[in-house]
Amino acid sequence: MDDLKKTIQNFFKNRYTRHEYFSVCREFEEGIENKPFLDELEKQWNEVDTGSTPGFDLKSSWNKIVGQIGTSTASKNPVRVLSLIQKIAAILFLPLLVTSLLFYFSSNNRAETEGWAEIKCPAGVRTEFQLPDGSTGFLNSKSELKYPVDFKKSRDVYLTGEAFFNVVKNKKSRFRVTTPKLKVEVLGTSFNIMAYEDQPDEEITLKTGSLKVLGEKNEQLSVLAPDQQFVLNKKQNQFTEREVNTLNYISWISGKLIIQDERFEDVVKKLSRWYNVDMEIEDQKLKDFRYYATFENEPLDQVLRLISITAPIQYQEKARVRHANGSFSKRKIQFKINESRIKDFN
Amino acid sequence: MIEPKKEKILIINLKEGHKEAFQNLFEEYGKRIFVFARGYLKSSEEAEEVVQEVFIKIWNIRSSINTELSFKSFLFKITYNYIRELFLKKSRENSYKHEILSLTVDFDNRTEERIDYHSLLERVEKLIDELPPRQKEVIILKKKQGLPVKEIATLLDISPRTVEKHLSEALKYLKRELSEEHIAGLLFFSLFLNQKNK
Repeated sequence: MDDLKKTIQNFFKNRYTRHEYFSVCREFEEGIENKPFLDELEKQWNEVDTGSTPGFDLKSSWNKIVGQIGTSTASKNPVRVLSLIQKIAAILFLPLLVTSLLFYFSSNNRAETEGWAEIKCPAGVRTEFQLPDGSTGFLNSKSELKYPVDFKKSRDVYLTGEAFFNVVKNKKSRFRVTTPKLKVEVLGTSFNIMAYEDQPDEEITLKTGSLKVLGEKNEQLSVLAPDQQFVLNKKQNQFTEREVNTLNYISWISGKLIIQDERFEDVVKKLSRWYNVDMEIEDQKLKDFRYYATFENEPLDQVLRLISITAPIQYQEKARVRHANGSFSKRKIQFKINESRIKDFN
Repeated sequence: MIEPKKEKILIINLKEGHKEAFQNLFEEYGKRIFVFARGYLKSSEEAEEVVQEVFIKIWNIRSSINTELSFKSFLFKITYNYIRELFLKKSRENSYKHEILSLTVDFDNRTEERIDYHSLLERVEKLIDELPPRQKEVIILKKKQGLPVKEIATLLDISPRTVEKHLSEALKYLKRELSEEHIAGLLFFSLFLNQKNK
């Protein structure tokens, strides 16, 4: 016990031996059931000296937090305000019991249909979600999911970006996802939708069950079976269907990025969302270059290096710009054809 | 330090969605999370990331916070979970450095108990970074990415023998730079040793 205390104190102060490093690793690996370690850490937590903290700017850190929570507060506000009005109304109208009850119930209905919830996933982050009917799923980076708080009448959700849904079966109530260009209706299945505004296609991939695809005017376009994919080319407004290995399209859930014969321009869009970095391609030719790759939890620098050794592509990092408020611009990477190596790949 | 009574009011207000109460709690605890996280993650950037993640989480689950339980302790558990996640991720990513160290530094029991491992890690990181580009590429692909020699050879378009040569030269160089005389400065004082053995 005393040893443990000493070890974590030494580790904390950057004065630890190899032995101590590995024992801290083991303690962390054991997880939440590791009570002695957790207790000792909590003691340390209570005694932390918060006097001087160079490298930490309270103000800018707060601004970043506000930036991230801003949208979710706005979307939840209407519900709260209405429920407050209901409370006030109920008190004021107490003597007129019948009318006040009517008012309460009617406004209650309205409040429920008007309440919207919104889940936003910032760039570089993936998140798991659960909907009011118990359906679950994952939201990919730079994506947005909106749904009514009341799921009783219909199960309607709105998506821009990419999400995987695992829908709870309910024969009486269909589940519908609306994307910028398409609608998908199911009763209970699992499927993936990719519908980013800056991507040329919208893709729907069915894992289990069956699924109906509708167009913008609610016209039925297709019914999919498992491992089938529906692809809409937004520019030409044409769609195709193909058999695919669904696992390749839902690998993002587990942190893998699988790229199969995609245009380099689309690959770069994926990477820039995945790592939250600005990227641009200098050579027009390079945009049409076809690329295959699988990345698994690799840091960006490693990915860039792998690209530059497996293809005649070179990259360059642009210096970050400091904004007036003290924050820095995002990392920016520029890709170019590596002319000296191009013959090696022909 | 905020008084317990005042803190309870802040948390009740936070549960109602008041941003001001949220900001007060951030000002009270932000630094603590930062210092604590930095102690384990050894990086100010990652520690700041933890501060943000923790407070965004607090905001998202504000309605379910139990005002009867200690907020400080609640915050600790959330902070711990984020630190743990990052710590384990980092230790996986860094495992190749430990491997390289065990190949190049002669850890007998005495050295192991006396050497400042934190500085040693920083030293090896710097040494790897300063290797000639090809040697660096090969050692990273082999030790960090775990690729077989043959695959590295194809990737870099050189022969497997050249890969082996780069690798052994890199290790030889690291071994020399990490030999006893070079790392003597990283040994802890005996005062520290005595404390440890008590």
